Amino acid sequence: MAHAQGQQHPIGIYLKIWGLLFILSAGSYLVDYLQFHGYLRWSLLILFMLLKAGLIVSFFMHMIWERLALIYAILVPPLLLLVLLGIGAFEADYTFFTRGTFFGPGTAAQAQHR
Amino acid sequence: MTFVLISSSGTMAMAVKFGYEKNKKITFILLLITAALGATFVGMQAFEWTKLIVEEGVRPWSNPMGAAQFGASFFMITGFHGTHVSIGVIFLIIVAIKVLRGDLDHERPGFLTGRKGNYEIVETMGLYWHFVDLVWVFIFAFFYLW
Repeated sequence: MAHAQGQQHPIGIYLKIWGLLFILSAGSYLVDYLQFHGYLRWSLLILFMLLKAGLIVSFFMHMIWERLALIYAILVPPLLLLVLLGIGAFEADYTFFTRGTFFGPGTAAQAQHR
Repeated sequence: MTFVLISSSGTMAMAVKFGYEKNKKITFILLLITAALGATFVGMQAFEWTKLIVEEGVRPWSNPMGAAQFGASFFMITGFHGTHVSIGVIFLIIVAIKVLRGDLDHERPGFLTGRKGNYEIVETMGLYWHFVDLVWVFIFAFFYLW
């Protein structure tokens, strides 16, 4: 998008990415079909998901041909949000247990409220 | 459904390419194929919702198969996604007509703007469409296969 003419790439790239997306989607279905369970299932699904998302963003949305500063400007904020979410989920356990300790049945706080 | 939406993203990407080459006819056809695939996707979604609601008894507040929250989040998330696909289909048809009529070659201004029209609106349309597809990648992994 840097120039008035816009971006031009050979059509083969789009067809190849299309094929790759098909293969990755088939892989996702295969994980379901072969009845993988537990961590194997989840890690494979997330792997295929991220690869597909990456291919769509980099080639179909032309991000791979953009300048590095723009790539960082777009990708880093959501990554930070994910980190915050992760920290939140991690701490949620801690908060939950603390509540159990102080406000759960049979604790001093409970007795006072009665 | 996944393959339908991925294919529509492929045709959209090629439409953008031919748009920049100012090849009106092929861009128009590719945009229409993209719109048709999008409409197919929404149609399949309608069948899926009907099956979930009528046959399996899932509601936004209850779910006979497990956690009640599934109904609320599934219908809200796929509903919003489907709405965006539907709006995208309408806009794809509008952009396709603009391309075929030569509005972009003659630099006629678009909606609510006095700025000259050009083939970048096809790219903008493409960004919207690819993002809708991108969101589906995540919905598909977390709701259908998890």
